[in-house]
Amino acid sequence: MIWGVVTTPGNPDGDLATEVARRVGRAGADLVLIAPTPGRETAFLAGFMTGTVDVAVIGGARSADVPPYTVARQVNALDHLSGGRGGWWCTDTAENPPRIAEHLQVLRGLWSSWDADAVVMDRVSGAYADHTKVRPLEHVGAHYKVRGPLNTVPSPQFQPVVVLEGSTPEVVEVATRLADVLLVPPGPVPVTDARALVRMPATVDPADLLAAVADADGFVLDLPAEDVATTEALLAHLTTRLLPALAAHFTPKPRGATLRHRLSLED
Amino acid sequence: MSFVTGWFASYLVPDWSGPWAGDSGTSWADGSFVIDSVRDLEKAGVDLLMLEDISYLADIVGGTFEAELRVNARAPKGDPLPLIGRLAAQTSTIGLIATASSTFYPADLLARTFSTLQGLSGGRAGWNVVTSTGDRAAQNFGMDVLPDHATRYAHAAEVLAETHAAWGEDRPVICQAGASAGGIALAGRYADVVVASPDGVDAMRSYRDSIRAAAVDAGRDPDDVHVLYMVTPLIGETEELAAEYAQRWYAPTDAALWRRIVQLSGDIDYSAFDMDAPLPDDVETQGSRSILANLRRVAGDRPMREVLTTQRAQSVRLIGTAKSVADQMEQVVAEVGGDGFLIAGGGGGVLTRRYVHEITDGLMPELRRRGLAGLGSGSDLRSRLQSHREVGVPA
Repeated sequence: MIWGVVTTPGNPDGDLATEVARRVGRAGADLVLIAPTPGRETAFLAGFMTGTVDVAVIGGARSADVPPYTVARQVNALDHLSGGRGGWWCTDTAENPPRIAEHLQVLRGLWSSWDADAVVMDRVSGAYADHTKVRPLEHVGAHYKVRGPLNTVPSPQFQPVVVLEGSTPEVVEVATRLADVLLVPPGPVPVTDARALVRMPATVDPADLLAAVADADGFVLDLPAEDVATTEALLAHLTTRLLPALAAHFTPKPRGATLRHRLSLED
Repeated sequence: MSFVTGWFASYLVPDWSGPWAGDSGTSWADGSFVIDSVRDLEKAGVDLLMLEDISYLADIVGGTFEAELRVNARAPKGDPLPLIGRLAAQTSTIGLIATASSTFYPADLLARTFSTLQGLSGGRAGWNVVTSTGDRAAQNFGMDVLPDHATRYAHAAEVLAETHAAWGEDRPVICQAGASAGGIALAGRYADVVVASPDGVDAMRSYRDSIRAAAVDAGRDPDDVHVLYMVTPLIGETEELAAEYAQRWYAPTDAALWRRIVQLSGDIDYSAFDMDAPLPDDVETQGSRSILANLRRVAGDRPMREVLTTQRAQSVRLIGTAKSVADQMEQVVAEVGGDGFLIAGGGGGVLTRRYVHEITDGLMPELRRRGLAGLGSGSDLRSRLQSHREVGVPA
């Protein structure tokens, strides 16, 4: 069973959101998603938390707001900084699935524009990387035109984790082809190769949560970092009621593993 | 009064093959090289760091990526923004200025990014506004060619107006490095920090005068703008050892030549020119015009090899013991009129932890002993910068 929370950026200095991530990480969560919030850049907050919390932190952003070359670089950096727990939550999937599919195709292509063994550090030739293992992407599509390649070395996961949300056939198709995690509402779980996680409020009853995740790969709970008292109450509900009720469904996961490993995704 | 000290930082692979490389060839990518350096610089009383950026891997030199991936002056390079987010969590006083392109990044993304950093860092955020160079960079962002120089600067002014409207009072520090007329006008209007490398004290003074005049033209107090000059102090235990160090550092080797060729080749392949002849007259660029103009001015009729191996992006050569370099810095600031220095340790493929420690454990303690430099006082980066001019740091 995969699980995590969807939180918010919280106060400007980031303390509350960091505390949420730290606490759910300690409780065994696989991932913390940060919901897009007006005026805040969540990828930045994910960078802020790397090295501070022991859980994958993934920022949410609208693909329409950030150029794909920038997303590819930032998520590559987050993957390096977090030791293989970087990812991106693309939050506007439902608006235009074909454009989002192309955006993700560019990301995947840029992350693969360096071969995994391109870094050679050859002291004889002086080459840090073998230039024949680095190729331009030359992507020209209906919505994006990106030459590439990426200007930095491949990250620990090589392909960082991409999260989408929705259950319409169009979104499920894009998720199966190009994403790793699909957030779905409670109800029938769509058939997809992505890890399907049911998104529910953190106030959910244990029995309702159990029923909702029966056919899914796991769940994410909305646990906003609003004020200390509300957040504490939600964390208490999570750790004293929800997690014990689901204990039989959890299997131990390797510590320090990449997010892909924790989600049982192929390399 | 005291002067501002800053550090020119890169999320680039540092020296990975030299005798002081250590594990830098592999440990840079997870950020630890920069994070360790910045924590040491903070402890040493450095006011700010400026994390540079370029968002492309160039195949201009010889039409391949080979030279870029051998010289490492510009690649491989991680995105500075997640790293500066990490630095906000792991430092507490040093100013955090990150580079982002006004040509390629939407204004609302920039406004959001730097206000988020301002919050996370407790008022230590800065944006180094660049308009980018190179068609190859533009081609990563949906364009075929880079917009021309005037268009980029006009757009940068629009983006700055938009981000300032979004920020209100608690706005991040603005840093600017363009030395063209457009860059100077933009700096006069918006910049708190200007980074430049005019060659020699006279050029430094006249550059600073032009920035201050541009600030007055824009209706600002010229004392609100701090011009930081690029320098690479080379510190030795004795004058003789420092001179030897400098001889090695500035040796006109093939490696130095290639390094300069790669750095210059934004849209023009400088490797295609005859290195034993002067720079041809008909070379033009829509990219870094000030760099080309400066090169032409410095080069004169000298062969390219001689020019490229000796020319560095710095204002004065600082060589000596910590004491004598501190003397030189004090004198330069007095002659120029202010405001401080941005220290660069060679950047990608060159920088070592050893160099960082020459600054943090050699030079900075000497400057602080004399009350010449050290962390300014105040509650945010802007007021700390200003405090150097107004009250100085205690000796």
